[in-house]
Amino acid sequence: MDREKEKAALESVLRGRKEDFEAIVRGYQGQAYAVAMGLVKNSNDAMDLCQDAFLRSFRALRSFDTSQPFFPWFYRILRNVCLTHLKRRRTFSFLRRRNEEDEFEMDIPCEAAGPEDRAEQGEELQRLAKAFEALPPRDREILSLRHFQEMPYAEIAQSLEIPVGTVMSRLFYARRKLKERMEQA
Amino acid sequence: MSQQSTQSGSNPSSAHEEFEILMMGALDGELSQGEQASLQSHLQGCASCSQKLAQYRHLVDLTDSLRLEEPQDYELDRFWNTLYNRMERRSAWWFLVIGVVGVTSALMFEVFRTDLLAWWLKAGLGLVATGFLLLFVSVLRVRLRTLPYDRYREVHR
Repeated sequence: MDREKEKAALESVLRGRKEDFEAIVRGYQGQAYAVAMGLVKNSNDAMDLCQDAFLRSFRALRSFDTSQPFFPWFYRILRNVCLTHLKRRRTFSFLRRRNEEDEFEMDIPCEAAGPEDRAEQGEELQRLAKAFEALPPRDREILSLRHFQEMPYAEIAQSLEIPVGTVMSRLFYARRKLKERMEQA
Repeated sequence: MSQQSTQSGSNPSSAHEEFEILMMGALDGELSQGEQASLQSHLQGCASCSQKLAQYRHLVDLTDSLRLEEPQDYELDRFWNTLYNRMERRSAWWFLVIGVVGVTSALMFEVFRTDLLAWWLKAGLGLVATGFLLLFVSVLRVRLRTLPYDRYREVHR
């Protein structure tokens, strides 16, 4: 989203025009959904948690410095909301039925040439999707930011409040686990 | 990560691991020239790391080709509408609470001030009003807590 437009919309919201928050929500809802999906792995939960995070950011907007980009600040709120949800869900996980297990919904493209290649690539992508799904939330989070959000390291570092060097090492540990899990599958 | 730090490990496996970390930066196009040069010189003499780099490159390409399934347009439209309703309802809830507490308090004040009612009737009305207020606040608090997780809140009968 364009920084100038974002700033204007946020200032307008702060002046009391809450309908102008729509531009912010529409500008970031896709990214927010991808982040939440990366963490909670369930489409319905991800949508609900994004709503909670937008609502919280709307209520806390007075404490936000509009000269700063909105997304890293919002990201921290969304992340907290998702992690709290995961913690709560873990506590009550014994109440969930087997058929309610989450499934990561992914588009798996197939660009291989022949039918055999396509089948092989499809199978490999399926294994990757399953391995990705089985990673701990912390690893899924950093991989989602890099691969699905296509964020540069500096932005990931700002969002997660970690140094850029740590982004590189966390990506390494996450990818190593992903590779190992794919090989085991 | 500095060039110096990548070469300082005394343990050979941890030194390899440091270069594996640098591989991530190389694959994502995030290395400085110094880091790039350090990695290149290590790779020239380390077949195992060169092989790992190829494996990680394949993994990164594969992961890049995955996409999260995006929500449907109608879901995104509904998203804003629901959010806006929740933004508006919060102030409505506050008006309601303040109004109910204010009106009940004013009524109770009038009831206790009047000489037309016996003391036991005033006490009874006081108990009813206190019970009503406590129940109202309790139900409201539970409702506000559970509302964000209520899957049926948008179901219209």
